[in-house]
Amino acid sequence: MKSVTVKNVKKVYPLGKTEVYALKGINLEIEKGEFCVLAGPSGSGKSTLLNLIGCLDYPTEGEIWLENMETGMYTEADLNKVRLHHIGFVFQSFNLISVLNVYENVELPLLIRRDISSSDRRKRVLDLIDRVGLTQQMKQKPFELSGGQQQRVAIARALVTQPKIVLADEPTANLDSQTGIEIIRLMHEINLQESTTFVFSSHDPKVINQASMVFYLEDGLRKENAV
Amino acid sequence: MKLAFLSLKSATVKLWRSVTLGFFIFMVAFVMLFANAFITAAKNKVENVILNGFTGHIQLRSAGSREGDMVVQYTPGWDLLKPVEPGTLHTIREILTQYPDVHVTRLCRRAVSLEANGKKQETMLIGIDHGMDSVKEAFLLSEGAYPSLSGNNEILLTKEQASLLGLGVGDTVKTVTKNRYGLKSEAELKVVGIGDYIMLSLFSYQANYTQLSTVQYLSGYSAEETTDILLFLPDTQDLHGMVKALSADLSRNGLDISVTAEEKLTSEDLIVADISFDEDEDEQGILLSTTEEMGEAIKAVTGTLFVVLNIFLVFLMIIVSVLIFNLVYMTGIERYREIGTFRAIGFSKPQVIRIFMGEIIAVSIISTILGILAGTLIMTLLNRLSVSSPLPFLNYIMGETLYLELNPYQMLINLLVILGFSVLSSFLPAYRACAVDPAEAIRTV
Ligand SMILES: Nc1ncnc2c1ncn2[C@@H]1O[C@H](COP(=O)(O)OP(=O)(O)OP(=O)(O)O)[C@@H](O)[C@H]1O
Ligand SMILES: [Mg+2]
Repeated sequence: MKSVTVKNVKKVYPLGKTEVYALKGINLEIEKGEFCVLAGPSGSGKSTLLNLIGCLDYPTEGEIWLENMETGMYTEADLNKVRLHHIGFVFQSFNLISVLNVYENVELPLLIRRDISSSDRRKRVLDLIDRVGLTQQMKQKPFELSGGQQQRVAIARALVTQPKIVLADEPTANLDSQTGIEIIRLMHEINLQESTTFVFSSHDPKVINQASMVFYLEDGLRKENAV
Repeated sequence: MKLAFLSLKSATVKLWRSVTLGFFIFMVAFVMLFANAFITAAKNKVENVILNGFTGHIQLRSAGSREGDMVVQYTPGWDLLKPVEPGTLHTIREILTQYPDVHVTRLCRRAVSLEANGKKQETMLIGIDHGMDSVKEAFLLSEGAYPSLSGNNEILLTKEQASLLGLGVGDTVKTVTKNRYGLKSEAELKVVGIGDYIMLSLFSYQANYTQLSTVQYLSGYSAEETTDILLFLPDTQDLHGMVKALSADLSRNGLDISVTAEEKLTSEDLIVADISFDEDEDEQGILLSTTEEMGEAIKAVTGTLFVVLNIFLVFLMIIVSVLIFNLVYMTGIERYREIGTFRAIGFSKPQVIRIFMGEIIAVSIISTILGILAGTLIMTLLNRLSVSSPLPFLNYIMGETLYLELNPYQMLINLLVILGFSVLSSFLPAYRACAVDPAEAIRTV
């Protein structure tokens, strides 16, 4: 089954009086349970594409399918729900909520989920914190953690809703390469256990090598043959 | 519920931010409560003074007395007083036997001029019936005594009058007027006490208490004639019912009743009346007014004070609103990324706004309550200590000791007003902050 299908997607940003063509017609398909990377130089459109797949924005042209849903048909409120139920985000600069501790940060997306009981919630949060290896640090605030630990919290937060797909825009860019590799390995491990689809972006060859599938982007287009 | 948890978390962890906001709101709550208590106390006091010292709950006068508002500064209008006929007084007394709880007393008033040491002071002389203790609630003695029940020709002076006329307790003052026949009449009155009308002294209100018989003598009235009959009710709740019943009884007994609320006299009426007045004109009716309608001039002043104070408070609130607006706006900018993260995770715009507003409302409620508690505590302490008024003129406003009224209803209003302002002034910036485009907000630069 296809997890993500991107059909001839174009994205144009207005920039003053001119326009920026961030994506110029991208086609790609990602199978369910894939662990894949968007690679490419800076400005090639990686973040733009991830944002579109993540329902944070609409494409200017083309279609994006998440399994069998075409996202262009949804209203903003619907997209909120899609993000809450089906998508997990991991950001380059972690984006943890500074006033909340590790436990609370991981729990955050579940606070607005009506379909999960509080005992279930607790179980899931504790389980994920355990899997990213932060049980000892559960009561600590983000500023008390190292970058790698913060990104682990972010991974736990992204996974706590049991999303179909986890999107990570340069998750290792703010980490040293050793920690970066560890983070990618952690994600891969979870990917294998849960068969959650992972899509992340990077321009670090060491990170790219960890992926089971690589899409190269350049100047808003896919470079098919550059594996 | 869980969003409220997030709000509280934010509010408590970012304590300094909350304290800044909270401090302003605390101050407003505090000032609001204090100022309101003060002005309410003053307002009640002046109404009490008017009630106890001048009008009673219900005042009956001769319809021929065309003086308009009773508690105003001395005007020639005071000459237009006409006594209630002895027959009428008798009838009224008769009727009032059906109302054993109603306390009846009389006032007799006359415009006079006080003369001593070559100085002159126009005033209204008020003769009080024996047993009218309520006068003590209106006039605060600083030396001497109140006029004795059995005596006559004793007068109370205000401090201002005493110093103007160069008189002290025990001195005599010459009192001159024209009696009902237009003839000059005078008497030597002994100054038995000096003090001030609570509150009214602020408006250099000229009036002097003496015994009833003194004014009757000066006016050329018999012992049965008087200008005012005052009724004090045990229970003010039923004032209007009483007015109705009384009016019905009086007209059944052949008296022509007019209730002043229906025919308010203007100052022009007074002047016209001044020229055309003729005491022989056969006006038999009597005029019935309630304390609520009396002393409007003074009540208007306290009412104005009340309004001015509240305008001041509204300004204060507007300033605080601007501060809140600013603070929330800045917070929104500061938390741009955080809001973007919330939105990316799947929080809807209204949910993020609720977290934001929740923080502000929590801080507002807590600081308002703290402000009210602090205000209440300080006021209770002041009342308990019964400190004498801190400023010399204040005791004419507040009475001998400061007593601030704590009104739970007022506190509730304060709370609601402050909350209303905080919510209104924080909604717009909160809304703006939450309207971020999540894709834009999480774009790392
Ligand atoms: N909101 C926006 N408004 C205008 N232009 C934008 C916006 N977002 C992206 N762009 C432009 O679109 C192009 C693609 O940007 P994008 O961020 O997707 O690249 P990227 O591959 O993620 O680069 P990097 O590796 O530096 O993160 C760039 O030229 C960028 O300037
Ligand atoms: Mg990028």
